Amino acid sequence: MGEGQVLRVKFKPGVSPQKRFENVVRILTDLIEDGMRDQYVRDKAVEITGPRGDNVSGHKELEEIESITKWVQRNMTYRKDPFGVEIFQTGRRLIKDIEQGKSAGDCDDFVILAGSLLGSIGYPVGALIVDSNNDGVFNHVMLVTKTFSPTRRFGNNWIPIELIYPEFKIGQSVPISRVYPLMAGSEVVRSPVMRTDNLGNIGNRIKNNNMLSGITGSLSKMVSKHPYTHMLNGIRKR
Amino acid sequence: MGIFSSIGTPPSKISGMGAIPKDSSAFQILQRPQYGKMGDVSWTTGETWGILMAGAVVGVVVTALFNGYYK
Repeated sequence: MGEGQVLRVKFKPGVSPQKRFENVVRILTDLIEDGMRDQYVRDKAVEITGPRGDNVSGHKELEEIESITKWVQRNMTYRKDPFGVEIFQTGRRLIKDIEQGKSAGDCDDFVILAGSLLGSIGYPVGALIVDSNNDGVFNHVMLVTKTFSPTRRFGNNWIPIELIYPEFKIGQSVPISRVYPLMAGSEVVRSPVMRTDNLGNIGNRIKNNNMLSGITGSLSKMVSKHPYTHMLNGIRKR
Repeated sequence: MGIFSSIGTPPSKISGMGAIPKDSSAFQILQRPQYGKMGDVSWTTGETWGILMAGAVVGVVVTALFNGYYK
């Protein structure tokens, strides 16, 4: 997975909000899944929770989750996406940006980063889409995770985590009335969303068209680089 | 702005009030029975079986093509 990779998504006019929403949340969990398998991300998670960081003892699950949460809340900077464009960054890219003092991302990037870090040290994670204005309209995303052993505070339950405000503790949220959970699957097998050769396609299309024509189109282009596709193309050519 | 951008500068309800309201509503909602099995494989949905069957079909086709070419 490359380091400086950003996926920009702009939808054609007329694509329904529901369709946009469904496609966007799918990318979100795909990027968390990619991040949790990235050794660079795992190394960072181990550093944050280890002797050079919060020095959390092994098996202290809730403390590990709190350590990662606090690190993301304190170190990542909230910046809105460009008008009309949804930007997604890989966990690796987000960590590098923090280390280089140029962190910027919106709530979905916070979730990608924290989800990747927690997933990389073994926690089940997912995106929890919520209506942060308590009006039934989904407009915000939080992280959701859980411990394997029951804890006094949360039992065996899923724990929502608000990442963009440092003063929020795990389990707290702004008042909401609806949730739409989407879990990142550790068992999912597929090509990473941001493979270097795939980015070439995306980059060229951005350069040529100054925007992507639609998320479905961009994803189908990316999938064509899958090794199986190469193999089948080779067989077909012969 | 993107689809999720409104939380950072949410309209009047939050940004105009100073302190950001906190509660445990998300946690409480997640205690409902329908979220109890969240993250588990659901064998009752068509999606699960669809993915399994599609995977099996793709596997058989790839194997057949591969064997057909290299026999």
